[in-house]
Amino acid sequence: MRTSSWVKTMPKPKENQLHPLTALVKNKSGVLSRLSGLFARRGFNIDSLAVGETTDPRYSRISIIVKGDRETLDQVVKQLNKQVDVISVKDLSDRSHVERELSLIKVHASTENRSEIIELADIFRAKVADVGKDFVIVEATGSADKVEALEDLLEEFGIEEIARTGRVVLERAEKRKDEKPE
Amino acid sequence: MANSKNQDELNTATKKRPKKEEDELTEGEKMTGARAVVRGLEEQGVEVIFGIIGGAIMPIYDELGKSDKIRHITTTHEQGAIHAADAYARVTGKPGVVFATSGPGAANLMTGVANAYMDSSPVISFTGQVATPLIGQDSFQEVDVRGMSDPITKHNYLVMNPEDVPETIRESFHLAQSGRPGPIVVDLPKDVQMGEFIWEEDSQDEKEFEGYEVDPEVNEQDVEDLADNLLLAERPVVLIGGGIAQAGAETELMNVVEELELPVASSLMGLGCVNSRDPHFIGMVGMHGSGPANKAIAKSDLLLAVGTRLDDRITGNVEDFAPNAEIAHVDIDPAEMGKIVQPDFPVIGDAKEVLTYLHEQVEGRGRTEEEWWNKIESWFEKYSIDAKKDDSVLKPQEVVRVLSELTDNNETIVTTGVGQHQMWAAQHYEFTHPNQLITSGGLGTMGFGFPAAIGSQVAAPDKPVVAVTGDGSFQMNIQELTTAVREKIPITVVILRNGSLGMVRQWQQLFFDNRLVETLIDEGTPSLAKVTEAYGGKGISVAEEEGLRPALQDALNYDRGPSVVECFVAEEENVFPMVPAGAANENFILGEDDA
Repeated sequence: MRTSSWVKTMPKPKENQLHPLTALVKNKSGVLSRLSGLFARRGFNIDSLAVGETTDPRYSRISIIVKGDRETLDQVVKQLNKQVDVISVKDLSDRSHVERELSLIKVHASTENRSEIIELADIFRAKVADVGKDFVIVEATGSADKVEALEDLLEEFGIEEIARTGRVVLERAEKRKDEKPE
Repeated sequence: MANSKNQDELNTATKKRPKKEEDELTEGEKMTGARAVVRGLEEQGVEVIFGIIGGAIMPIYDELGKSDKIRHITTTHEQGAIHAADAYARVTGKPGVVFATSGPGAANLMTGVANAYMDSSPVISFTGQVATPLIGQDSFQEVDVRGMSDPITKHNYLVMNPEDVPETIRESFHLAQSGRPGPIVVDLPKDVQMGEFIWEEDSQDEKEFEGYEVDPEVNEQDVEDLADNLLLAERPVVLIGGGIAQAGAETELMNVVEELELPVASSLMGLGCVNSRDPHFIGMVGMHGSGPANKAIAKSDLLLAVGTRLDDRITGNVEDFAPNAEIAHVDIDPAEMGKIVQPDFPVIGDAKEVLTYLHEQVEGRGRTEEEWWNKIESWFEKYSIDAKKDDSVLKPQEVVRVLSELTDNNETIVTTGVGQHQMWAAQHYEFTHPNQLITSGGLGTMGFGFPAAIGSQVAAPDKPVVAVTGDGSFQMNIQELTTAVREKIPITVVILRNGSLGMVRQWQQLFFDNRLVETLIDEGTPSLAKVTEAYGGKGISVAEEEGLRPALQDALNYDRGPSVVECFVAEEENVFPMVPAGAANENFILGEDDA
C-alpha cells in the first residue's frame, strides 16, 4: 500500500488513558448539544457521557469519560470552562471518586439454563429485572470493569440486546490522606 | 392561500400566551417582545444597526421605525451587513449589531458570524424566527439558527418568552464585550416578538454570571518569573497579536519594549499596535512574514507572545517554531495556553494589566545586547522585500506603497479582503496605530474588505477609509455598492486587479506544477470602474504607474459616496517571502527562483 506523504506529518499517536470528569452545567435546552458539538469539532475522544438533573433543578451534572493524554484532558477542561453554560468542571483522575455504570442485558434463557444465569447474576450482585419465556433481563450496577466482566460471561448464553447508561462519577466525601487539598 | 395556515397558528400562539393578572401590574410598562428589543438596544447605547428586513423580523423593524435614536443601514446581502457590523465593532470597540430575518436571512449571516468568532469580534446578531408552534416543522423560512451558530458563537440564545428579552439583551452585550470578546446570536420567534409582558425596571447593573469569569486575576508570581527570564535572555523577541488592540495595551507594550530595547514582530491581526516605523518593529511573522521577523523568532532564546493565539499561519510547522526559545504566552483566554504551543511561562490575563506589571518588574534592570540587534539588522539587509522596479507594468506592491504615502495621516483605516492583495497591504502599507488595519485574519473570508470599509466609515465618519481588495474578493460582495451609494458613504476601494484568484494561483504555480485550474477569472469580469459608475459611485481605471498617483488622489478626494480605483496590475506577480506549508518558518522562499 502506498503511504501518502501527509501521514508522516500526522501527530504522534497519544496514549489513550481514561479520565473521569464531572461538570455542573445550567439545565437549559441546547446545553447538551452545544457540549457534544464541542467534543466532536475539537476532536476530543469521549468514551462515555451521562447527564442528569441535580437536586437543584436549575443545574445538571454531567459525567464525562475522556480518552487521551494529559494535554488533551487539559484542553477539554479549559474548553468546557469557556462555555457560558458550564458552571464548573472537575478532573477526578487524581481524586478519590466513586464511579458507577448501570447495564441492562437481555440474555437468551431456556428453562434449563435460567437458574444458571440467575446464579451468575447473584455472584455479581446483579438483579434479574425481567423474566420471559426465552429471555431474562439482567440489571447490573457497578464499575465499568465489573459490568463488562458479567457481560463477557453472559455472552456464552447469547446476548440479544444491551443498554448501558454510561459511567456516572462523583467525588468522594472524604479525601484520601495523601490527596492534595483543592 | 399558502400563508393563511401559518397566520392562524400564529394568532393562536399569541392568544395562548397566559396573560398576567391585572392586579399584578403595579409597576413596569406593558410592551411587546419587539418593543423590548429596540428598547433594550437603546438602553445599551446602540447607535447603528446593519441589516435586512424580512417576514419573521417585521415586528422588530416596526418598532425600530419608531425609534429616533438608532440609525439602520439596509445592506444588499446579509453578509454585507454582518461584515460591516464586525468592522464597526473593531473600530469603535463597542458591539456591532445586526438584524436579519429567519431561514435564508440568518443562514446568510453565518459566514460573518464565523468571521467574527475567529477574530474575537463582538458582533450581536438578532434573527427573526418562525413562531414557536411552527418550530421543528420545516416551516417556511425555518432554519435551526441556534444549532447552526453553536460552533461559531461565544454564546447564543433561542428566546422562548417575551419577558426574557430584556435580560437576554443585557446578557448578550455583557458576554460579547467582556473577557475574550466574541459574537452572540439571539434568535427571536415571531410570536415572542409580538407577545406582551411587563417591562420591569430592575437589574440594570452589570450582570454577574455563575461560572463565567470575565477578567482572570493576573498571577503576579507568573509575571515575576517571566520578568526574571526575560532579563536573562540573550536573544529575546516579542510577538504581538490582535489582543494588544483589544486590550488597548499599545502604550504598556511600548513601555516594556523601550525599557529593554526588545525587537517586536507582529501577527497580521497585531499590525499597527507598534508603529511600523518604530526601530523596534521587525515586521510581520509567519507564512508571508518578513525575513527578519521569521529569522529572529527561529533564532531567539526567549519568545514573549502577547495577545496572539499562535495559529498555524504564524507558527508554520509547530515542531520548528521558535525551536531554541523558551516561550512565554500571555493571553486572556486560558484555553489558548497549550492549545498549539506548550508555553514555558504561561500568563493568563488582560494584556494591559500583565504588561503594566511586567514593566514595573523590569524597569532599570537591563537591556537587550547590541549583538542580537546587529544580527537582526543583518537580516534586514539580506531579506529586503522591495519589489524590482519595472516601469512597463503596474506592480501591486507599488500601488500599496503609493496609497500608504498618500494617506499618511495616522488616521486612515485600511480594510482588506483575503488573498494576495491582503498580504501586499500587510507587507507594504505603513501601519502606525492599532485597529488601523481591519482584515479577516482567522477565517480568511474573501469579500470582507468592502462591506468592512462601509462599517468602518460609519464607525469613524471623520476618518478616511480605504478598502484594498482584489478583483476576486471585491466581486464577492460587490452588491454593497448599492448600500454605499444610498447611504452616501465616502470610502475608496483600491482593486488590485490581476485577473485571477491570485493566492491560489500562486500555490498552483509553486506546488501543483503550474497547473492553473480554475483560477483565471478575467474572462467575464466587467470593467469594475464602469460597474461602479452604473451604481452611481465614482469609478476610475488605471493601468500604468504614471496615472496611479492622480487616480488615487482623485478617488480619495471624492466625498459624495464610494469611489473605486481599478488598478490593472502585473498579473504574474506573487507574494514573497513565503513559507511553504508544513515547512519551518525560517525556510521561507524569496521568489519563484527560490522555490
